[in-house]
Amino acid sequence: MILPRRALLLATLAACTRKQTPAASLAPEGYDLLDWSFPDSPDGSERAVVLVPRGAGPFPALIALHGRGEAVRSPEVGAYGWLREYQIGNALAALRRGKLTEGDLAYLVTPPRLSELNQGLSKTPFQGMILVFPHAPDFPSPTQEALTDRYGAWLLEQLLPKLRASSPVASAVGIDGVSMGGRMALRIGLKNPKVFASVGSLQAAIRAEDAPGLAELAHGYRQARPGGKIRLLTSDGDFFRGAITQAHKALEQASVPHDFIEVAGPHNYQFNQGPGAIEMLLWHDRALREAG
Amino acid sequence: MSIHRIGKNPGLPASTPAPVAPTGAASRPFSVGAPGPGAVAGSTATAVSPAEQVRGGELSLDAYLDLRVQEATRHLEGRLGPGDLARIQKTLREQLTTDPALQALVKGATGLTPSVDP
Repeated sequence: MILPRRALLLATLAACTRKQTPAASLAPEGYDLLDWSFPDSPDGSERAVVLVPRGAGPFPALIALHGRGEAVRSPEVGAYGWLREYQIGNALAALRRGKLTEGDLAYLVTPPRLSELNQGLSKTPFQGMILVFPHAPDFPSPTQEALTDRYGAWLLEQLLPKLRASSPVASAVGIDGVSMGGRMALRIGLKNPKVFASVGSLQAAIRAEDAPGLAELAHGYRQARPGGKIRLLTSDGDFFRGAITQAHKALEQASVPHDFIEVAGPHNYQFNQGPGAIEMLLWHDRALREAG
Repeated sequence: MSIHRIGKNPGLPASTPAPVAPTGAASRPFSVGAPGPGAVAGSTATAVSPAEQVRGGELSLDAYLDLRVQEATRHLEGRLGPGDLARIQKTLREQLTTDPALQALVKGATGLTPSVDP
């Protein structure tokens, strides 16, 4: 799908005029912001930002990983990536309003998809969840999988216990991520079915040759957790569209139930700020509540 | 098989974000619906939470913290050996009484501030 030039210009202008926001003012309305450091983490001094909805809860929780652009800068930049760079506060506000506009999706949406999202919101309003944004390191290729597993162990053994001990987390926890974070989320989530009730990815940075391995992990995940939800999302301008489509076909061949969706938009920050954030939040909001 | 390419197939149900059609006996497309009986909202409406029990004097703060640590690490049972699990639980228990941010969260929940025994 080709978006009108005007829409792309507006989205670019909007992204360029946004300024760095102080951490204290980043908490979206109705949420408390927690900023945690982990000096004893295996990859050095890790950091995570947590958004907790005000109220008694319990709430489901979603761990959302950022892309490589933030990974190569610093733990602080990574932990605040979804808030500062991807502006997820705007997506939360839009979903809470209950009606989305083209602008909410950074003008990267077709009229049919916008209508579909709004009809869905009208029928099943967005309820919200605890959002966890840990810094995700950029691991080099030769040892990427082993280091991702070590990072996953940190998530499970340090971050998640701290979250569960201090916040009103319900049993249902999901994981997602964009690009590099999407690849990591798939591996960590699918390898830990006992922990993650929903596993998704936005424009996951995978290769076509990863597809069989992902299908195998997904099959194991569903065997261990038959009600677990899996989703692969790509877009018509995504560099990884071919590989993600291959992964979808591999899961289908392995008879692994999952959602696969291709939306409009490129692989860039505007996508994350618009459809990326909204599609991720909406899908997990429903998946986690269905998981209970 | 139906793959939803946005803008090319607008006829899907409104509440389902493009499910993939089932291809085998084990396949069941994920459909988004209203929260079921196991859904989070309201699931503890009639139960008295441990934090409320602390506020009511029915549970000590120490017992509450022990309970939170047990619950917070339940997903690690069977994944880690007893020694590693105990180490994580000990670290977390210490954090709850020494980390100011966690102390504040516990106080918010229970009304009491955890501290290290003198």
